[in-house]
Amino acid sequence: MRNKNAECRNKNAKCRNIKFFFMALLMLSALFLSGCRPEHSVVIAGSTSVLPYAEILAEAYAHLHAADEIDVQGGGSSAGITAAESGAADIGMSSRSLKESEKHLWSIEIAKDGLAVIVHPGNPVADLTLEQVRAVFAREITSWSQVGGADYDINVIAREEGSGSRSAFEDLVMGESKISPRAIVQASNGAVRQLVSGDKNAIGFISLGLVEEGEKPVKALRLGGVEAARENVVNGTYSLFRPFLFVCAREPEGDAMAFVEFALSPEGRRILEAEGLVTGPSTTPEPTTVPFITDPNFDYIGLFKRLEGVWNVIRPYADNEYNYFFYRNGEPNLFVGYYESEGSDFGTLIGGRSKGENTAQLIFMIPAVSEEPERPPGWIEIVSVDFNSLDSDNEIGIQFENYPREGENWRTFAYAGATFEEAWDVYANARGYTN
Amino acid sequence: MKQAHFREKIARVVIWAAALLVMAVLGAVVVYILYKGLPMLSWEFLTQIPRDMGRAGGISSTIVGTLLLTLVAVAIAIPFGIGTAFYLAEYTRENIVTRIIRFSAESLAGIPSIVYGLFGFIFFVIMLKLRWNILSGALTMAFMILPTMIRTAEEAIRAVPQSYREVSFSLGGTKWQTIARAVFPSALRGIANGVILSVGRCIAETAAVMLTAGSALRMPASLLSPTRTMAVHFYMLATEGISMPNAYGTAALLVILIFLINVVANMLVNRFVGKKESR
Amino acid sequence: MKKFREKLSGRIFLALAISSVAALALITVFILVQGLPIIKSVGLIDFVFGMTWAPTQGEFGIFPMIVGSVAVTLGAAIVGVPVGVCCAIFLAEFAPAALRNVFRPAIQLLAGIPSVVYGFWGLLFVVPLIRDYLGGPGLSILAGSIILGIMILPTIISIAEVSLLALPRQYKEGALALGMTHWQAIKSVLLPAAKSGIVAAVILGIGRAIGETMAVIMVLGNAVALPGSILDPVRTLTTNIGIEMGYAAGEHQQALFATGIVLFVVIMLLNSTAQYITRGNKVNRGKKK
Repeated sequence: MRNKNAECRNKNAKCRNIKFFFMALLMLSALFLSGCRPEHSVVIAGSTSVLPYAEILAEAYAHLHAADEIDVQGGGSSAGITAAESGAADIGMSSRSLKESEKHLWSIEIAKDGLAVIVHPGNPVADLTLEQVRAVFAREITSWSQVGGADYDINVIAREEGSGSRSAFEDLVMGESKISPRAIVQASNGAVRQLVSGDKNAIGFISLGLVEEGEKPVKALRLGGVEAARENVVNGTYSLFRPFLFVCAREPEGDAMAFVEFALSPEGRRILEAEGLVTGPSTTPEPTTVPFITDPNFDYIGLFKRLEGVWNVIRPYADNEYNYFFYRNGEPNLFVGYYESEGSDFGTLIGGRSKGENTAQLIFMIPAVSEEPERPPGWIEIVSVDFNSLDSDNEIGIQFENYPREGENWRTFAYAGATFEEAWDVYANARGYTN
Repeated sequence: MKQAHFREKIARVVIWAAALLVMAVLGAVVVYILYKGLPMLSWEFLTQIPRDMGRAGGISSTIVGTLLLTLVAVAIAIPFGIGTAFYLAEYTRENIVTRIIRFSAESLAGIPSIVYGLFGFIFFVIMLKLRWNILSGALTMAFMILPTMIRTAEEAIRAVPQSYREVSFSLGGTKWQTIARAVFPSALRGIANGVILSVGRCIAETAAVMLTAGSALRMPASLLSPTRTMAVHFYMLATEGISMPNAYGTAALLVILIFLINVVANMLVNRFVGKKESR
Repeated sequence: MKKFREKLSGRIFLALAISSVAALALITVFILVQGLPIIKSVGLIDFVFGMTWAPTQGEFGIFPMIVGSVAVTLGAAIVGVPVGVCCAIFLAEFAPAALRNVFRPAIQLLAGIPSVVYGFWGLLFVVPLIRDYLGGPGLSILAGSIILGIMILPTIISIAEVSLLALPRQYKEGALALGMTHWQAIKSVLLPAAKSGIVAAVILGIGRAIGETMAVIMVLGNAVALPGSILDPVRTLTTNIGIEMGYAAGEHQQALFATGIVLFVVIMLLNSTAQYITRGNKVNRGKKK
């Protein structure tokens, strides 16, 4: 009896310990949950073909906008479109054009991608016609010997039904035929590539940009003599290509729109091109005349206040500073500030608008004086600014025509089409200013 | 008689062969993974976030994601599972309702986890608009492990000899006191077993997690962040050939984690068993 | 105060129980509600025995997947049951204590390894072997059976061992006293006595094999057509759900839930069989005494 009592007491202590443990666990969870706020994040889901490119864009975007989080995940084009429509994702990625039933969604093409038909590098076959490819995937041709190879069975590898790559392939290659139900199915580009790289008798189709990516090599077939290369997609001789789309339930706003714009921006385009995609008409940022664009809803007052704040940040770094606020009708109209600091740094922060309803969008020009100033990522170069649209009885008197000065090496960059905050962030980061 | 001895010898050979085969297989799988993966487990690997889709960097966010997901799932399922088990075993008499509940728990415990994944994806992510995050994943996992918890807990509680309860009552204990001090500690071993089993299942689950918690690579900031668990990360790295060394590293860490959990579980069990036998 | 705590604890347990039951009911009802409509519209016979699975064309026949599941599970049983039962016998009867203390935790470790690791290992070693030496793409029923067989070993071994160990010592001692060899004792006395436990172990192993998804997605090839040989790629009921659930919508999604219902029914049948067998065992034991 005594033993039992002692045991009961021990067990009691154990009980209590365990109860405390669970309590602690619950409290921890509660704390963590309470840290739950609707996140400042953009969820992008869909095509596994677009996925790696969206990831790279997201990484680059994160350098510019540390506060925004982009979450990227796969699932296939149809999954992405469904997710965008249902709201599970902010942006859906698709590697095929929208079907009739999906046309009510908002979409925009961010690039074109070629579809490569790949085989093992050791496969003697290097060239097939489109018709032969069709027959192979429909299993009308079953042996490599029928297309110029060795006498082995062809192992056909396809994507799952919801894949945009598969849909594109079916539209462009299969036509009325169907991919054989005996084909092996894998759920992503990478998996297809991985399989083909290990099987001498396999054939599959993947995103053109992915052919070179991976630890083991694969070989892309020539189609009717045409090399599967980006240039051939651009000049139109390689016929297998499909659009990469960002799809949303309706026109995106806020952070989602910012990311879409980034993808379409010159910097975004540069990134995609570097990875092997084909982007829209202007593929390299050219020096250009940036027009004033009107935006009647823009909060210029707030912006100008912010410019003042920014000025306070630069001030410690400046040896001499000059700043001007030009007023018109009692409201700040143009702000010019420039400073000189030791050595060759000379920066000017300019914001301006014209009067009245048709107010101008702001251009932020930061001349950089140094040996060969580098164009900061995401900025375009300006060679002239049309200030004529500014009100003529403005008391500015800024002598822009004096820039560049003799013997100085000026280039003027602008971050167009974005908010001041972003431009400022990039500039501050490049210059090492801390807020 | 000789025939019998001959048969005996053959039988021994076959049985030992089977045992050696199993050990060889285990060795082949585990040793290979550890051999290829252990060298990858550096401090950087464990503390850095994956970069470039997992080609570079480490796996810190996946470790955190796995732990968080498992913790929350188990924290949700434990009270409900154990509470239900106690209620079924202690507070109600055996009748058709309890039998239905028990049967459902048994059946649901056996359903493939992919069906839970489908349910969780459609119900939590899409319908309830929770989107892909740890919460959706943990809720799905909690649903998945609940039947097992109820079952193992109830078995463990029922295994406690009736004499314990009778003694407690005869000493003037109330129902709650009996449960808390007489039944629960004795059933603890079996309950803990069920918890360990469920933890293992959560850590290893891939398809269901991928479609409810997402596959985002960044460090989760709260329960509403999407995350990638180690199992999902390994799956993606390995099947898409993104980075074999990193895949092996992740797998090695997973195996080590499972091993540690097993060891801890055995230690805990032995402690209790030891205490009992010292009586 | 005591009374209050009594009432409160009772109520809390009740609340927890009701919530859990509600959760279990939720899943069951949800799956049924989502899946039954398609079974009704397609027709149960056409759904279960339909030969073509082509959701984009509105064809929802899951027979190829049923064949796939059955074939792979059967293969896993052929691989896993003999080896597993032998190992159980090994652990219960032949292993020296030192080896036993290594072997048992090793089996536990085997049980805990995530299925994706097994699948990957199969992709690395088993699939190329099949491809190079037996033909076909390597991704096949055979590969799946081997991997699944390995994966269900721990289940079979541990449960079979428990049933063997649970036998009263008199059985074995009696047999040996009658002059049987060790193996004769095992074969004629112990195994039959533990039969129901072993059968239950096998059934549970089969249940696990049917439910496996990730490892088999990686090694089965996932072709939609009816397989012709064990070297052909195939899809199981579970891998079908796994591959398509991300993008399935409308009827397609319903069909996946319907597949879930089929799986549910199969598992329930298996469980009931296992329960019935083990219950029979307990009754027999009582009678023998």
